[in-house]
Amino acid sequence: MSAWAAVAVVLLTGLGLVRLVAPRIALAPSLATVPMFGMMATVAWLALLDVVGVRWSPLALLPLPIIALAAGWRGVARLEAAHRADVWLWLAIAVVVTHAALLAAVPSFSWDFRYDWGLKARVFAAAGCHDGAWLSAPSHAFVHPSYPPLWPDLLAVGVVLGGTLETAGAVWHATLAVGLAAACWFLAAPAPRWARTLASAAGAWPMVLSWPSYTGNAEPLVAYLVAAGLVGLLQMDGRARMWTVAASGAALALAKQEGMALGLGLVIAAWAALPRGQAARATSAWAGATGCWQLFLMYHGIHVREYSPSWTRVAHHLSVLVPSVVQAVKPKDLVLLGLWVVVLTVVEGRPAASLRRIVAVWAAAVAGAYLTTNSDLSWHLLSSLDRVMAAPLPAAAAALVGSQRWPSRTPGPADPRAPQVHGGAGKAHS
Amino acid sequence: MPRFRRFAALTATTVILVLGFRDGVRLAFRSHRIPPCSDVLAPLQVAPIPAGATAAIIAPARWRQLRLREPLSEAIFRRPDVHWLLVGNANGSPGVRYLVTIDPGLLLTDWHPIWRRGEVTVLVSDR
Repeated sequence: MSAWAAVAVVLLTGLGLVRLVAPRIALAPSLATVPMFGMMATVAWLALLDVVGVRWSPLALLPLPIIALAAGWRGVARLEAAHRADVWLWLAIAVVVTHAALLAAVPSFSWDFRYDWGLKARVFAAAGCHDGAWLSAPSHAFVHPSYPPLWPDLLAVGVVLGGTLETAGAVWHATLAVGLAAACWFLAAPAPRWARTLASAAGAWPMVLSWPSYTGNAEPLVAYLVAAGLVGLLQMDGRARMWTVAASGAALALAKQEGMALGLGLVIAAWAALPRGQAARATSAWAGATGCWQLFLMYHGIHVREYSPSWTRVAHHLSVLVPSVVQAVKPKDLVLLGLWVVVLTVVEGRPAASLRRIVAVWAAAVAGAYLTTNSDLSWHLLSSLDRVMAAPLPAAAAALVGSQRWPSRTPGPADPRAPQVHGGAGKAHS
Repeated sequence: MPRFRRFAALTATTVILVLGFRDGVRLAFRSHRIPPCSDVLAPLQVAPIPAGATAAIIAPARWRQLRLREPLSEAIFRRPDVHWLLVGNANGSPGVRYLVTIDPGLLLTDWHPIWRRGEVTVLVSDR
């Protein structure tokens, strides 16, 4: 077997769950959310194996896709390709597949991948569990033991199923590129097909995230999960919308620290868009995932060492803020800042309020993290600001494209009369 | 105004795509940048150091230019089941039973080599 087997397990599991929660959803939108549902189910399954004391192994992973497919079988059997294929869709597919093939061919090798995310994955795979004892050892503090486990778990599944760590990183990035591009395609609806192709291509080839020094990092995962969550929030209705937002919020909470903030922003935005009961359930999913990980950390005595939320530290960082920013900020960061200004000022219609709420929560959390960091502020900004800013950008840009009033016959989401694109009982947008 | 907004939206998306394409192409044509000590320390994976033991690694002079964390991180990556310390010399590691060096000429009193592969030598304490 290889690392691709891990992708197969996650996708089959996700397919079953998507068909379970939204049996009438069309095939193409499923592509955008299937990996996310699969990832969430996988991390939950791995945690369950820990709790019942079963070691992670190919055999222990096998029931997961079987159960999920059986549960969603009625929907899977009704799977239909409701998407109109034209030259623009084929072009988008070609662009996406090109980058996915390229990503899959280059084993991951960055510092953070090898000695942080990947090392944890290696340890988890060897131990056959979330090895709390190893994480809590003081000599392993440099791997950021308090960081959430979703990315190491996905890599570990690749290793458990016979792949190498480096290829697991590569094939997951390829999968995430496809997922992100698919999500951007739907977020850009109802723009003309050529504009959706552009949005999808920008999702497949997102700036900064494929930078060689960042290969194997968790940001593409965050980028994809935000995009999938926005597809749910902005483009679905009914049960499908609630479940998709809930899965995205929970997965983001388990993906990365800033993912936790993005997930919180997403569920806060959901309160304005979903009925109260559904928003409450989505919020519970985010809170449940966050709480479970915090309980794990508390149980193993693992403390957050990267940040010290004290006024003294904030005052110190504020006093050196300007020289640190001048020293650390790269031209790329300014381009990213400019793009965010364009996105937030030009976006209109239904996506505008949601996007601004999410970005407000995320930006506040990121600013808080930098102001309370225990590292040198200038170094911290230099080593992370670009990838942190870049992660949610492809999804935001696609939503921006989709929010415009296009001179076509199709009413846009800015139009309150606009039909929902797809959902539990909705119909597919082609 | 809608036309300007559409233009801004498409321009922003195009910028993301163009810069992303540039990054992706760089990744494709970049040789893998595995840390320099990675290949050297690869034999550690099969070194006869028992799981749970504490071992020290002496960073050789030629690695001093690296970030100090690098050889230590690589040793942990190769053998995460061992408790690793990075030391400047063998005397700085009291209580450590195993010592790893890549310097074949290193002679230490109270230590004798038990295993060698490639450049990696594992020594055990006589104390």
